[in-house]
Amino acid sequence: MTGQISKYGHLVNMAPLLVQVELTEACNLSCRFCYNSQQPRYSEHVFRILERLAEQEVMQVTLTGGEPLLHPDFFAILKRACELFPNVMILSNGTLMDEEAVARIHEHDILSVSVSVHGDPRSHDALTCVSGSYAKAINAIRLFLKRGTIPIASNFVLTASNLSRLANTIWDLRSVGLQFLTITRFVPVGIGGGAEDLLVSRRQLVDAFRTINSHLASGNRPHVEVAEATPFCALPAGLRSLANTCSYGYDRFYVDVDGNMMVCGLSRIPLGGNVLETNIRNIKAGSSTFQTFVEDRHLPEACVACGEIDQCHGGCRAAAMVRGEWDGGYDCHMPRALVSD
Amino acid sequence: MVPKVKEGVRLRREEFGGLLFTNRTPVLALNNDALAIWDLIDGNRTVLNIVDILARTGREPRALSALVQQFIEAGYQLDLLEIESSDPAAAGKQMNSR
Repeated sequence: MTGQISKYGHLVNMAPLLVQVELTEACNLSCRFCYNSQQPRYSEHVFRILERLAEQEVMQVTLTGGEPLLHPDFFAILKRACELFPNVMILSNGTLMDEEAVARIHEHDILSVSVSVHGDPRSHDALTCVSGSYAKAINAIRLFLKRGTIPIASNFVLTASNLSRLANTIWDLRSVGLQFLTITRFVPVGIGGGAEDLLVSRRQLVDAFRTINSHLASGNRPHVEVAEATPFCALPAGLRSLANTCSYGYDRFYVDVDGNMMVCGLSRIPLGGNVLETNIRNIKAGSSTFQTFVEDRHLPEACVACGEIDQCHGGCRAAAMVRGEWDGGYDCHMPRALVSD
Repeated sequence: MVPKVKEGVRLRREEFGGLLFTNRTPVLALNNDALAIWDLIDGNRTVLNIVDILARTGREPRALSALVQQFIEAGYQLDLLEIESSDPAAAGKQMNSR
């Protein structure tokens, strides 16, 4: 490894806190905002991938996709994951989580399940391009809540088309009994790469934060958390405490269907190694991308000089990658060269 | 009073100490002092045994005893530890009910 690692140097030797494991790129929905390819690619070596991660003391994995339940071995994968890791989570669209599937999931000690809901029935189904997908997602949430043993959360991808439905969706999910909701911002990558009409402007983002802030002030459930990294400078001071910091590419990573280690599913920035062939530590040590992140060299001067950089970290690097330039307050500059590490 | 690590609790050693993973709490970080106590919890040693062993490092026994007791109480409250005792009522008294 060239250069000197500074602030986050300890992360080279530290096993990841969390790895998202992509079981498939396929999905039975066609979400307009999807960051994935929706191609029928399935992980053929997923058992070995999980074992390799466990051997290196990864303790938390999220089974994701695509739609992870579309993997023909999903329940065997889930069983194996629960044998190997203390914390197993599932990210799903919920449409395949009928009574039988939910019962089978409950055979295992799972940390949490997240079922995405992107608006009211009309706006959700319009975004997923599949009629009835909202009803199935809500049904899955109700089935988990009825059993009450596996924490169930939901994720709402914020787009220009469902922004106006955010407050009502929070209310609807409250009436269902949901306790936790995360909000992520649409980033035009993957299938969503061409969906310019879904891009959320800075003003719209601030409006969404105000809606979330009002809800949190009410003390009502669900608890809402902005999961996506947001540059603090894009927000008024009073809303910055709601913004999150992204630690993907530092202590959290993504492994695709082939075992390639990446920064995150959104950016799909490769770290230049495959967990089936190389130890994670060696992948990180040999990755100029990882080194750039831990040395904060991806940040523009304005970010480096900012007093809030340790909390903000420049926003979403996937969004910055797409934009390709720093525009003075909306995600840090990501050098294009990093994408082809 | 014998503390024992509950099933499903996993420790990962780190340069700064360790991280505890369970399905019941967020990830918990242990510094090296806490890790030294954790390492002695084996389901056989009593709290007094643990204090005695740690006291060999030269630390003041009374302060050490308070520290160990506090740590084990916290572990019990967080559902990371169970407490075995020949006198369950005594164990219950010492560990405030959750």
